[in-house]
Amino acid sequence: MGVAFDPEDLSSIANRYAELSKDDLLVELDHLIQPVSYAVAPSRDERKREGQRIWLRLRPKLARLVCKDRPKGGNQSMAVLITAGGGTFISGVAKMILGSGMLPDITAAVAAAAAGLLFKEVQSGLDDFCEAYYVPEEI
Amino acid sequence: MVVAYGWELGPYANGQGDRDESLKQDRQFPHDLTHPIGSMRYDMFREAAIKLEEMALAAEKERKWLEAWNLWQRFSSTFDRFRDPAIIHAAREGYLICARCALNAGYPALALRALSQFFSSGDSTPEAIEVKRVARERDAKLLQEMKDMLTATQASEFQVRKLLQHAVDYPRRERLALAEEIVNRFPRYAENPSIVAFDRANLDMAEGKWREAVEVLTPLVEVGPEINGPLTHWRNMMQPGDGREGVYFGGIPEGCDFGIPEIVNRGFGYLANAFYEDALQWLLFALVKDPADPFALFGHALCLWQKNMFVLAADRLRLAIARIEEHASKFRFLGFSRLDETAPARSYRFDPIYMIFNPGECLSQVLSLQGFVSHLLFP
Repeated sequence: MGVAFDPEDLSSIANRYAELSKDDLLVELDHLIQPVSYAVAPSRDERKREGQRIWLRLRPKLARLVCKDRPKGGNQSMAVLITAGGGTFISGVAKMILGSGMLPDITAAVAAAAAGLLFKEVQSGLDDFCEAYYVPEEI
Repeated sequence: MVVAYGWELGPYANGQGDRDESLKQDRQFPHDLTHPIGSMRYDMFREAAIKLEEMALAAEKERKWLEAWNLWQRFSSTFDRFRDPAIIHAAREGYLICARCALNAGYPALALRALSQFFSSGDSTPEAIEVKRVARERDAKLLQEMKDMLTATQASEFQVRKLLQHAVDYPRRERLALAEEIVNRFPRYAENPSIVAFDRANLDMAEGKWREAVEVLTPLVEVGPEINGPLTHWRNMMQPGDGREGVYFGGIPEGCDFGIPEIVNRGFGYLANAFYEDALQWLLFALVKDPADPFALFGHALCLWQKNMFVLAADRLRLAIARIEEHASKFRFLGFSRLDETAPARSYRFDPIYMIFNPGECLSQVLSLQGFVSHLLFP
């Protein structure tokens, strides 16, 4: 199951998100998903907190996507994407998210924001990211 | 900050996303529940946490690592109902210390579970990653010991019990199968038959065979009264009963004639507010009335997950998912609201991002043996 998107739009969003800080991306995620019906205009901190909570829920799903080949010597395509830079990484991972159907009905912008946050985290080391957040599923 | 939740559940109006207000009126979450929870002060839980912290530090000082692990786990769970970042930070610190204590006690599986709670509730730290690497190394070593045991000619009671416990603590299919093989290879590894029976029952529980576990233990209660504790604990998780320990809001009233949605709503209300024994009591009561009610099954699964009974929780989640899909046009969560002192009520609708609306995602977490984290599950 995949989600239709315009590659040019995605590329433009990805380049914009590559320039944002982690906090900005969390606020953006809250804006995009709007999980909360605020009675009064929320502060940036409040939006950031809600964005962080969304990110915590998304992160293990993304970890399954980017870390799944790790025990077999690492996910090579992911390593290539990281070195390619922010815009390319965000655009590439967003396409993977949308194509995987792991988050049904999300927009390309949400996938790109999630990919942007992922980029911030894997920059300091994909191995550490996978060690922390990836748990293979099986009983 | 006091956070309280109101839960609503009931028949879904037209399957198109519009809720039927008249149905909502009938199925409304009982008002008498949110009020007492809402009026409970944070101080009460803070004091309990401080006491647990003091006890945990004392246990650490005496190098009673397993006791310290248990106390730190309880310390972190005390904060389950709160969403303030500072409180979540305190709970995460507790999980990390908990993992260290489990490692010191020689239980890497318990450390991995505590670390899963740490990592899933916030960002990683170099220290936590290092603790996890050590835990995984020790876990792999114990797994190898289990494999080696299958070709060994003799084994001590200590060795066998340690490896069985390891499988129970981190119940992956492979290691449970290894544990079975070890028990078959050394059927008389302990002189006391009660110990062998208790380990057998423990393994059965970890494999999701709770009736078998009860059958093994029931005849032993008379000869070994210490068996009564775990037996009662397991029965309480799976069967309704009076006089449950840890219930805050009293037992189910005699002759209670609530309908199933009302009972389930009550159970979820308690669950979302981290009153797990109260939740369990009401959800089991609902299952007596209808053993196939999808949301009673779902709620019961979440209670089992909270108690780290992963395989039993997974079984219940599968049943719940099948039943929810069967009645998708009839049943659905109507809504969920969060009430706290600083924010107006917030409404949440069905959304795949929120695990409480997504039993499939809960199942995925349970199958990964992720520890239960209240604020990831409930908004």
